[in-house]
Amino acid sequence: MNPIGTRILLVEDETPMRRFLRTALSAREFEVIETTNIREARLSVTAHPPEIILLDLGLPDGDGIAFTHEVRAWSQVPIIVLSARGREEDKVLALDAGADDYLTKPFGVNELLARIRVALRHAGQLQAGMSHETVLKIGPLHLNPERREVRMHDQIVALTPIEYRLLWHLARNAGRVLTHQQILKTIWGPHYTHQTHTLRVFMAQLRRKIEPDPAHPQLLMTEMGVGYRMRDDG
Amino acid sequence: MGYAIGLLAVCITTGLAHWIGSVLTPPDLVMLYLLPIMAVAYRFERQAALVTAAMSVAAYDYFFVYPYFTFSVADPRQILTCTILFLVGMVTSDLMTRIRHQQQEARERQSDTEALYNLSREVLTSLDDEEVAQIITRHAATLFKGEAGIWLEDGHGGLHRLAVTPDYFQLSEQAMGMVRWCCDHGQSAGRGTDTFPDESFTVLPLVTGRIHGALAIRIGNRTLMKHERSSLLSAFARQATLAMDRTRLGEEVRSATIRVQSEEMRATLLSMASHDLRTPLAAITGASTALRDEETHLDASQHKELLETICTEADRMERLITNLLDMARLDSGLCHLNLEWIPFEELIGSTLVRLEKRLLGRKVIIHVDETVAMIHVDPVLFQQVLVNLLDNALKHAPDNPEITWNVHGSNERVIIRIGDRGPGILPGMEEKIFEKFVRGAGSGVPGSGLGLAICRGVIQAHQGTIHAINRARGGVEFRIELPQPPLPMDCFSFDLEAVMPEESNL
Repeated sequence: MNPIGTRILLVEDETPMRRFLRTALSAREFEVIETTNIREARLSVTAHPPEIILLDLGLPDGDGIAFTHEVRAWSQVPIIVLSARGREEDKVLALDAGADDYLTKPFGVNELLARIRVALRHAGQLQAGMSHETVLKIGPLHLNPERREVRMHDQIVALTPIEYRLLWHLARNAGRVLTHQQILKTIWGPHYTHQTHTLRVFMAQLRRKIEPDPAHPQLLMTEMGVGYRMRDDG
Repeated sequence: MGYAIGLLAVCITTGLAHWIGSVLTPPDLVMLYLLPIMAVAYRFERQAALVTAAMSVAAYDYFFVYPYFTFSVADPRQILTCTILFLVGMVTSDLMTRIRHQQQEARERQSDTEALYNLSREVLTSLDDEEVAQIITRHAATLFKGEAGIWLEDGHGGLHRLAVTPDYFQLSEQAMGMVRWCCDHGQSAGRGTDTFPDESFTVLPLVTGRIHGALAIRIGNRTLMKHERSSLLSAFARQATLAMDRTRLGEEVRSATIRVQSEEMRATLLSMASHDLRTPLAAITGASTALRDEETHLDASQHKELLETICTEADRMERLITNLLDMARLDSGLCHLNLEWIPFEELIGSTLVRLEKRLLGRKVIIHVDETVAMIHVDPVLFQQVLVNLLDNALKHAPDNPEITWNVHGSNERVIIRIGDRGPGILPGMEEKIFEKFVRGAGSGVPGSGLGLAICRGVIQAHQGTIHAINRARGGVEFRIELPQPPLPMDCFSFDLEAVMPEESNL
């Protein structure tokens, strides 16, 4: 992925935040389109379709969550929410609305760039239509979807079908936070979205099989109160 | 009624006198006729006694004074006897009536006193105006067998209906005008007063420095409207005024106390928070202005150092702000618990991950009992407790790497012990360290003094306890005890492998 010329739509009403983001992102050769409210963002999104949206939640003419829903109705463009609302409920709300990621203010440039990278890569994979033949490699973890084979440090790990699906889902979204609801809905279906404790039990089992020290995980990370994330250093 | 009884009594006396008349002299018979007069005077009104006296004289004259069976009198001395009999009867009936009235008054006074006593005893225990008003109207309605209501000025020039008994008691527009007049002038109005005496009810003022209101009462029982009762009515109003005044005063004292306490608290919080926020801010301002203004004089390492300062101090400030917000949320009571079953291992794992950067080279020895696979807590808040306690151990025992976690369950409780080998807590500070802005021994250690206060807030919200004790071989152990409901059956038995959906496009 080459960020040069990648068009970012920035929706943020705070001037200092815009200045910081413009400076930091332009320095990395991103093309930044600045808007300060939802009305402008709506126009911009259709006039100059961006490759990624950085969205503040508390905007003068409306809520970013509603805008997320609006965009998701017709586009899969990655949306990263940047918000001062740090509560877990707010994160879940934004992610369930269709945001790809959520960064709580304050955050560092490196963290933002890492999240942008993950979001762009994931979007790219979606567009390319990832084939089932591709072997997924995340650090020492290798997943071969064709053979339904999971290897950790080249050792085959035996997983139950559900465990495999859970791991595959997280691995495919490596670097992104998936909410409990999203995971439960994908793996078990829409009727099981309240079974958070069951998901936790399966995650614990999965950690025992994959993590060298399940009490100090390196891959399967908990985002407390929000969901899970497969760590992705790449 | 009194007259009939009088007539009957005179007849009986006459019969009696006739029967034993043979052994008595006429003057004895006169004495005998005093009996019915006294009996009637004792029991009935004065008129009945007088009529009885007249009938007694007539009967005596008719039956026992010569010529018999006529009202004429032959002997002039007998006229004197009859007159004296009538006069004695009159005086007796007067005295008797008076005694009777005094007795009745005494009884009434006693019941009034009792009523007032009951009222004051009941209002003493009540805490607010409304309750007091309800008690007073209830008592007034019972005592005066009518209806009563209390209105208070609401501070915006209007009148607020505080309580009425019974519920349907209402006043007309005009009556409300009287209530307002009564509040404004501090004088009674309506029946039994000089103002609007034709009204069907009485309005009494309830006015002190603190309250402006009125008690309106419609007396149901006619005999209760006599003049003497108006003193009871005003005593009632006085009692009501005093009681409401007292609750007002109590409320003022209470709110003043709370205000003082919260102001003290706010003052401490503000001074602490402003100090703790200004310190990192000062470093950031200093470092960033140096970078801006003196760039040419700085070498590469100084440059880097200043940038490093800005970053770490900004981090510190963020942690402090987060802590302050968490504390405020816990204090406000707006923080509701999202209780969920979560594997203890997951809590530990995410705690260690959150403090990963600071854990480098430090060993955390973890022992979780098999019986405590899952724990029922608010995962987000409880993780914050674990993070704060581990952070505390890392800060206060930086040189000694050993940190131990022990988790075991017993009797529907889970006990979590987190120990370090640091310098420990000064004796007597074991409870104090959980208070806001109180810091333990190593005061050189950076921190907000809020971490442990947040821990206690969260644990208490979970109905649990947290204590700190100095360990025998050095260091501190924090001990958390949490009540735990039994693990739901479906936690493990719910076989989700069985409900695996059809092959999808995963």
